Amino acid sequence: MNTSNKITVIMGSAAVVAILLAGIVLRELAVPSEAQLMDARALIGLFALFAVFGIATVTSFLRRAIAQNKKLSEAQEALKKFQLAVERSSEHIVITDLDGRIIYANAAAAATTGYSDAELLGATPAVWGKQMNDDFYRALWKTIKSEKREFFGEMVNRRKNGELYRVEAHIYPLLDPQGNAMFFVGIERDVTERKRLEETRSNFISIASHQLRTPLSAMRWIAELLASGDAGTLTDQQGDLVKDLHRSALRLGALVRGLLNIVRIESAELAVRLEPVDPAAVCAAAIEDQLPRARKKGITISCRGSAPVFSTDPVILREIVRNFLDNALNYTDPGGRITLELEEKEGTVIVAVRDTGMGIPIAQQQMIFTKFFRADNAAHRTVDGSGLGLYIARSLAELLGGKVWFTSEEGSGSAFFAAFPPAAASAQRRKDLLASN
Amino acid sequence: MAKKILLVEDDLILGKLYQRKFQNSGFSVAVALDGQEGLLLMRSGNPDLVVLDLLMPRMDGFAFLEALAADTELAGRKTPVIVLSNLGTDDDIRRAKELHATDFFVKADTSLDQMVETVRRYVEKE
Repeated sequence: MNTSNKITVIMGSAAVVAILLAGIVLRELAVPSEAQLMDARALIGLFALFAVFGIATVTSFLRRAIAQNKKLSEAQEALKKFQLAVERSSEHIVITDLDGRIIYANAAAAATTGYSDAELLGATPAVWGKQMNDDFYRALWKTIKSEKREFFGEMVNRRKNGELYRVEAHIYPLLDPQGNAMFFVGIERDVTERKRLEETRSNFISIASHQLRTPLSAMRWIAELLASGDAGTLTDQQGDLVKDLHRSALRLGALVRGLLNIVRIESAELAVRLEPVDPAAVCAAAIEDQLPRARKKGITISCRGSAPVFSTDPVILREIVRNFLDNALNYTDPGGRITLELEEKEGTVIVAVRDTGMGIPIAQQQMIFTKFFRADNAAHRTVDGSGLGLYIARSLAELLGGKVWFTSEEGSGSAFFAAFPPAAASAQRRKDLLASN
Repeated sequence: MAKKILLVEDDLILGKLYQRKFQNSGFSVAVALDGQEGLLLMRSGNPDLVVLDLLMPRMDGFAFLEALAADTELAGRKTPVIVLSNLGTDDDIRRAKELHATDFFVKADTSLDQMVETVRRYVEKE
C-alpha cells in the first residue's frame, strides 16, 4: 500500500473514531454543564476537523483511484490496439529475450513456421532456422547483440513439415534508456513465391533470347558463308543481296542483345561483382572486339592516356565501352578516327570515346540517351545499331555508381564520357539508385 | 596433319554451318548431337579442340564439362573447350569458366571468321 493510501486510511479511521466518540460523549451527557458543554463543543470541533480532513482525503483518494483506473483502462485500450495490430499482422513477428528465447510470437509466425504458439514460446528461432551456414548466424548475432544494430538479410528457413522457404528478415534489438538491449524483435517476410516467379521470369527471358538467337545465328552464318565464297562464287547482284542480308541479321542480333540487356537492367537482375580492374585492359579488349568492323569501314581506333586500377565490374565496364565504340562506328564515315581516352581526376576514372563523325545537332542533344532515339541528321542513315546502346551505356554506368555525358558538334564529331568515382562514393550512389527504384 | 575439332551441337542447321566453315578452313570435323555423344567421341577420337553448345537434350554443355572434369583420363588431356552458345548471361559465362571452359562466345554475336581465328589460336597453342 502506498503512502497516500496509508495516510488516507489513518485519517479516515481517525475521522470515524472521532465521530463515534463524539456521539458517545454526547449521549452520556444528560444535561451538560457550561464547562462540560464547552469541552464537548471543543471535542466536537476537533472531531469535526478530523472528519472533514478524513472525508477530503477519502474523496481525493477516490478521485485519484478513479483517475488511475481511467488511465489504466485507456492504456489497456491502447495496448490492446497495438497488440491486435501486431497479432493480426500478415508478417511473422517474434519477440525474444536476450538469449533468443521467444516470449511472444504472433499468429503469422505460427502460421509461417508451422509451429503452434505453445511450441514457440520458450524455444529459440533455431527451431525454424539453422539452414544457413554458421558464419551467417554468427554475423547476425554480432550485429544485433554486440553491435546493437538492425540486421537486414535474406535467409532460408524450414517449416515444421520440413518444407524450406525463403524470407527477408529484419531483426533488431529494443534498447532501454541506458542503451542496453532488453529484447530482440524478429520480423520475417516469406518471399519464396516472389523469388520463384522472378526465377521463372528470368528463365523465360534467358530461354526466349536463346530461342530468338538460334535462327538469327543461322541467318548470319549462312550470309557469311555465301559472302565469303564458301558456297561458290556469287554474281555481283547476289553478292550485294547477301551483304544486305548479313547486315539485317546483324541488326536483329544487336536488337535482341540490347533488349535482353535492358530487361535485365530494369528488373534489377544484373548482379554487380566488384573487383580490381585495369581500365586499359578492358578498353583494349573492347577495341579488339570492334576492330574487324572498324577495319571493314576504314575507320581507325586508337587508345591513349592512362588510369589506375580501380574497383568495378569488368564485364559491365566492357559493355559500356563497347556501346560507346559501337555508337561511334555507327555515325563515323570511312576514313574517320575514333580515339579512346583514359584519364584519372582526383580518384575518378574517366573513359572517353571521341569520334570524327557526324555529330549531334544541339536541338536534339537532350534526347541522346533515350531508347531508340535517333537525331534528325542520323535518321536517314542505315545504321547497324539497335538504337538502345547509349541508353544501356547510361543505365550500366549508373549501376556502377558512375555517370555519363557527352560533347558534340554537328559535322565535326562527338565525345562520350563515362566517369566512375572512387569506391565509397560509387557504393553510395548505387545504393541511392537502387532505393529510388 | 589436319587438326581435329569436335563440335557438340544439337541444332542441325547451325551444326552444318560451322562444320562446313571449319572444314573449308582446313580442319577435320566430327559432330556430336548432345553431351553424351560428345563424351563418346572424345574418348574414341581424341580431338585437338572441342566447340561446345550449352542447351542440348539428354546431357547439356554444363553436364558435359562436369563429366569431362570428373574423368581423369579425359581431363588429363587438357583439350581446349570453347563454349559457343546463345545463352549469354554473366552467370552462364561464370559457370562455364568455373567448369574449366577455355573461352565463351555468344553465337549470335560472333562471326564464323572469328570462330576460325579463335580455334586456330587455341589449337596452335598446344
